[in-house]
Amino acid sequence: MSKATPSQSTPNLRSRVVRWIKLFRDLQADAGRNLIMLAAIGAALFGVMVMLGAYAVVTREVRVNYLGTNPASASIDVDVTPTVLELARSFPGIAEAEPRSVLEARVQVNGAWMRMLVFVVDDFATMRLNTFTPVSGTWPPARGTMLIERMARDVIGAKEGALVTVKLGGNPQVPIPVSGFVHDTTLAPAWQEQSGYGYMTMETFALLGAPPVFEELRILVEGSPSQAEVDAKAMELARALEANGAKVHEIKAPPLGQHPHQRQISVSLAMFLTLAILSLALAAILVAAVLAASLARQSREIGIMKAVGARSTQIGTMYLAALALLGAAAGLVSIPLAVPAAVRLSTLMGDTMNFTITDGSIPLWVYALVASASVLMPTVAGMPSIVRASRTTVSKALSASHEVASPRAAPLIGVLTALAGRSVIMRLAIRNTLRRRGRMILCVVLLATGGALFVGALSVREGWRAVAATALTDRHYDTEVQLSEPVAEGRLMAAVQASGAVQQVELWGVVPAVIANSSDGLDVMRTYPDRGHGSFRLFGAPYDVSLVTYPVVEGRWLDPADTDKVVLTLQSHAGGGRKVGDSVTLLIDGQAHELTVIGIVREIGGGGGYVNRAELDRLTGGRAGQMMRVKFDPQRQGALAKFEASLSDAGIGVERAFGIETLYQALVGHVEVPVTMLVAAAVLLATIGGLGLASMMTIAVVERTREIGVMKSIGAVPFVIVRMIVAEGLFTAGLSWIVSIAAALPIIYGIGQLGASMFGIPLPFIVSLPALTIWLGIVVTVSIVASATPAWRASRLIVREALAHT
Amino acid sequence: MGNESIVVRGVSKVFETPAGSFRALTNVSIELKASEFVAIVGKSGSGKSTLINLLTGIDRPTIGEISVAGETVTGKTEAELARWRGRNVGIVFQFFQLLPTLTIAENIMLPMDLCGTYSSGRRERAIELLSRVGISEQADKFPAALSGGQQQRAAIARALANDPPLLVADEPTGNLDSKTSSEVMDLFRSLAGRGITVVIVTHERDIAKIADRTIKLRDGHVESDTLAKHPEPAE
Repeated sequence: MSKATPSQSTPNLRSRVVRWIKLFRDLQADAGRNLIMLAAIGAALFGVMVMLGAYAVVTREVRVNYLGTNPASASIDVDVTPTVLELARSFPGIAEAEPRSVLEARVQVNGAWMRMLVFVVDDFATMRLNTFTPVSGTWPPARGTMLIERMARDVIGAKEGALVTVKLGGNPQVPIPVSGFVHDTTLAPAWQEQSGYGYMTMETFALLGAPPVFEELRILVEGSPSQAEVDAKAMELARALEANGAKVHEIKAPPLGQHPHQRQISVSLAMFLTLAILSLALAAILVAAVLAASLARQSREIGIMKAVGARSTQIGTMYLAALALLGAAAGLVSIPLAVPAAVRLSTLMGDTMNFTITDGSIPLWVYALVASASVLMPTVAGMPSIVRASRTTVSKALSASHEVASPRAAPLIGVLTALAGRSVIMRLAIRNTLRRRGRMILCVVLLATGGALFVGALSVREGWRAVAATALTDRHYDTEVQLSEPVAEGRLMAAVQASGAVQQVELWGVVPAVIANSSDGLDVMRTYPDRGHGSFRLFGAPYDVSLVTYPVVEGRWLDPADTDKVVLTLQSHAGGGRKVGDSVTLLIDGQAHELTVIGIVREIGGGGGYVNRAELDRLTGGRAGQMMRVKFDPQRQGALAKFEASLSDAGIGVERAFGIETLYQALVGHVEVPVTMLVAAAVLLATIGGLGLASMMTIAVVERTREIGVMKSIGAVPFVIVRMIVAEGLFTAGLSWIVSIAAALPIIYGIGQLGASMFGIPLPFIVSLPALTIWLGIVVTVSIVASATPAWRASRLIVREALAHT
Repeated sequence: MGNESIVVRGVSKVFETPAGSFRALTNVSIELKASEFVAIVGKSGSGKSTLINLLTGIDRPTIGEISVAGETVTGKTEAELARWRGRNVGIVFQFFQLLPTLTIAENIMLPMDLCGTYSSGRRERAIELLSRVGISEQADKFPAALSGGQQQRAAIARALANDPPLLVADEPTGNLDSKTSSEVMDLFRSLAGRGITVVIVTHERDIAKIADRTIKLRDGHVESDTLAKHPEPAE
């Protein structure tokens, strides 16, 4: 007989979905706890989506922006005559060659002079290399006018059509109308550099009183060359130019195809992405823990379902589906919320690094990845406890006890209980916290990870500030002034005296140099053509230096009698791995000089080498630049302005003046972005930790309903119950705080050592007390907020019902 | 304290359930004297537990009034009730209900801590109470390490912590073997002899032999109220 029953042949929908109805009602019944889980997964997914989205957009846009400028493969410092240009253009393997000049001029802003980089372009209309794009105004700029980089607009207060006053060295100042604004993505933002950026034709440049000669030859190597091929081709061309009678000063080849800030951007995004993934992993563990607790409470129901015929796989599928549903819901809420945040973060990074987000769309793979993570993460995390629960036997499931185990008499518990003193309630609170050790550890880990990042980040900032402060304590002058052309010492000192504003002055020599790997006088510097980082300057120190006292790390400082001797700074020393006694070849204006290293000094906010001033004159044939380190009379108001006016009256041109306060600010500003990102990650983790704590406390209150009923029946007023539950939360927070201090120490040490490789010196090991205090305040607040609702609920339990709770 | 330790006057209790109203007690009036050892008996659903929940202030009557040691229990707020219970009523549960994270001594110190009593010698008092119930050597163990009988003795010691005039026990021997049950019952008997009113809800058939008075409930009414004829056991 194989006659099918009606229910087998035509099962109605309701009978088929009945277990899903149960699942749905279970989810509903635990709505509060499920919402907390949803929020925890949602917060983690939000972090991941924002970071991954910004990572994808920024990486793409930086490349698009930078490659869009068609960056030159290399730039050769040489007077670009028509012959030189012709030779370069016809040179085998060179696709493009263009003349360009980049000079340091000064621009007047509110009566003071600010540094301005002037880019001189041969032909704006046909420019092919290192291009920049018009934003507004007239393009190309008419004769006698100039374009300004968009980010320099506010820095120098430029307006379209209005005049800006520019002067080049000691030449007379020239008012130049601004024809419009451009975007040059290869430059660091003007506000960061405290510099103006101007673009003009050679005709206009000549108005500033400079000889109309281009000083750089920019080339593009054919095909898709490697860095080594670019270097080799640039060298080959430079040698060919020299063979033709041209004088090559320097060859610069920036890292191939990489925006000047690409590394910083990638590193900071990757770091934050790692933290977001970490928070996602922790949220997953949290979900697993909450689920394990829920399953423990459902074990009797699981037993009943199995008793009436449910298979392990059916039960497992139900709970996995619930988790997947929860994850999907979290994803549905947080992904759309994260998209604008990711775009905003990309734009912020664009503003910081001076690139434009041409296309803010987040690639589809990011959506796909985060969406799958939202479903997979909770299901994978919950899998072990689901498998365990669904495989349990009927009799075991039906007889499962919901009683929470008593603590074992571990010595640690004894020590911690002693903290409670004589109060039995406090002992109860502490032991309750330690009852579910796994859950407590999870909450502690979540909060402590956030705390370690927070304390670590702010401590590193404090350490870095202490290092940056040595830039002030090792320098005893106010301003460093570089002259635009050599001036006789007597005339210079007379002008200095005449200002009446100077207390002390030292005259130094300075010249750009290259630490050479080869000794034939030509070498490639790995620097960008914007006079950016990576350049090496050789200073000629006066005999009686007193306005700087750099600590000597190894060897000794210069003696007046020293010749062919150089003192290096820790950065340049660390870079090349050179020791005292080594010889080093310095290329100065294309000439190789071999010097012996006699000392290493630590100089924050600078880098280069020191020789005696007379030695520098000898090495450069008296053509070194002049630099003054000036200490102003503290009694004189507006000393800098008086000093500059006096030099100007004497016809002495200033290329740049740089105050040590500005140096300090620039140094301090370097770490703000990563510190802010670490603090944001800490806050994300604290949020997830707080949600974790809230769900754990909710579960704990449910599990201990009967105990709470007993307490109330023997005289506990609601306030006592509230105090006990809140104390449990506070105890967890306190433990996490202690763990976070312990975890912050290696972070501070590690970043400090990383600082050694980045800045030449390890950061001092400082643990920020304000950070510790603030974090304590944060975790205390988080724990009170997290335990408030469960505590209130516990205090409202009806004794009769609580006592009947199973 | 007057001679009538507990006065229950015209008390009814109605539970509103999704299935409709359920009348657990109807117009119950009883008066219990100080030092009386009272057994409340009856079948399941007769209203025994409801009555002692009302006596202990764990639940409130729908109508009627209850006073214990001259103090009206009805009309107090939850917090007032909790405070009142802590000082005036000792409760012993069927499943002992010791807090698993506190040691036996700490369990007994808990009501003193909650009510702010005996602030200078709580541990000493706990040990003394434990000696009284015969398990002082178990003071520093956690409940899980004790047998059922020992746990119930500890629970009785906890009920005595604040020296209450009334001790209420709901099926205190329901979870114990017969030998331990009779030991526990003897303990209650001796407490009643020391001036405490002891009210016990029980299924024990022989309870009438040791209780001073047996009140039998049936369907929420007092079916019978019998005074024992046995002599007071010698202490």
